[in-house]
Amino acid sequence: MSFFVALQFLTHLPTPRGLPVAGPALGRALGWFPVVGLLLGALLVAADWLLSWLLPRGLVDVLLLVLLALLTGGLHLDGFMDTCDGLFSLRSPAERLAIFRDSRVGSFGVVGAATLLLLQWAALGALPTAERAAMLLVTLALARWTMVYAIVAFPYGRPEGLGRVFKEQAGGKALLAATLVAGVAAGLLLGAAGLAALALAAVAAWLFAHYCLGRLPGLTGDTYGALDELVETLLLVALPPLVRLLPS
Amino acid sequence: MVDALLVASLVVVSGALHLDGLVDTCDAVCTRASPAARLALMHDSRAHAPGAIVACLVLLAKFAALGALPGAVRAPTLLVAPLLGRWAIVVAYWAYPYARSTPGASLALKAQATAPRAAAVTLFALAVLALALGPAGLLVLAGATAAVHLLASGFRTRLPGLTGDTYGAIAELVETLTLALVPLVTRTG
Repeated sequence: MSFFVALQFLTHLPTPRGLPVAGPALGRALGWFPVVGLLLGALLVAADWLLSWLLPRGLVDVLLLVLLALLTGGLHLDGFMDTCDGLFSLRSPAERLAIFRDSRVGSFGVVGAATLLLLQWAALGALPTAERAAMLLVTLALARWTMVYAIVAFPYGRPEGLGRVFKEQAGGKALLAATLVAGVAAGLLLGAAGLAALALAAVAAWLFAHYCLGRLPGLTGDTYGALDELVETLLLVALPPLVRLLPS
Repeated sequence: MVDALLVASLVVVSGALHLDGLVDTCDAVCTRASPAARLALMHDSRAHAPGAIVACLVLLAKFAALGALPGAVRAPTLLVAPLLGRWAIVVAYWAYPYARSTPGASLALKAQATAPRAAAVTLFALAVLALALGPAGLLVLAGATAAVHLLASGFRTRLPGLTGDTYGAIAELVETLTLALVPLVTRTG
């Protein structure tokens, strides 16, 4: 059941009705975040295989980005844009939190999204064919693992909100479960390079969380989404060289 | 580099009119609100997250599609993609109900989008497609027609009818689809 709670929060995929939106089930759902990442990755790999029969690489890669945005409801991209608007504006921490809540997109958000999507697209195009599927799976799983790490390990910035509900239930156990799943999946799929990617994702999450904490009273749902997008981009860029350095 | 300039010139030549419509349309249809409230949101000149994301992805798709055009069909594709985008606007004006009653350019166009005019532009598009692409041109027109119908029907489940913004969205998406579709049908057809 807690798997479906995670699926409901992270995706627009169909889930059973009447799932809990509070309580310990949310804490347990955190352990399933990397599994949801693997599921999203598997859907992308399947779409990649099908579309590659018909379309050139560049267009397939754009369609993969479209599919991922549809599957997640654009949740993390939206968080990333709000985070750009909030963090790059020269305001007080409280005013930055108010900017996060504004549904409109400012110029930093637009510039951020355009740059991020262009990077993701270029990185997808440069993935080596042999490890393409494994890299997609590892990237999406580890990006969702960093959200669990950020939720458990760093303070939350608002008195209320979706992130607060998770934060209150988040514990070391959930982080341990998520880390085991993410580590085993990354290790099985990409060997030593997969484990190096996990370490890289952890360092990136730590740096990003500290960057945010210098500008905000704590992390928020939007910054978790931003972290997910940034780590996805980082891993798409970094996995090919990591696999060359550490062949499995 | 040339492809990026072509994508940019499509934006500049149209004054970003249709792209703006695409952004406003995506913001409206992706919002959880009543059809009437969505209609009001479309008048909001500021962009929200769905519109910004879709604008990026459509521009990227055009760039990727241009980069993958085989040399043999490149010139014909560049000719027919913008043509079919504008053809789609006329057909959508004619075929589907209009949502607003406020007087303006869009309402005037709706009143003038008669069946003979839709037929005339379709014949013109068909002639250009046949000359540029031969029999495969028919498949491209069929694909564009299907896209117009799917998009317009989709918008109508979320809006009381079509508006100027949604015609822009249809034009952008049909233009993008055509760029991807021509190499596909000329390869297999």
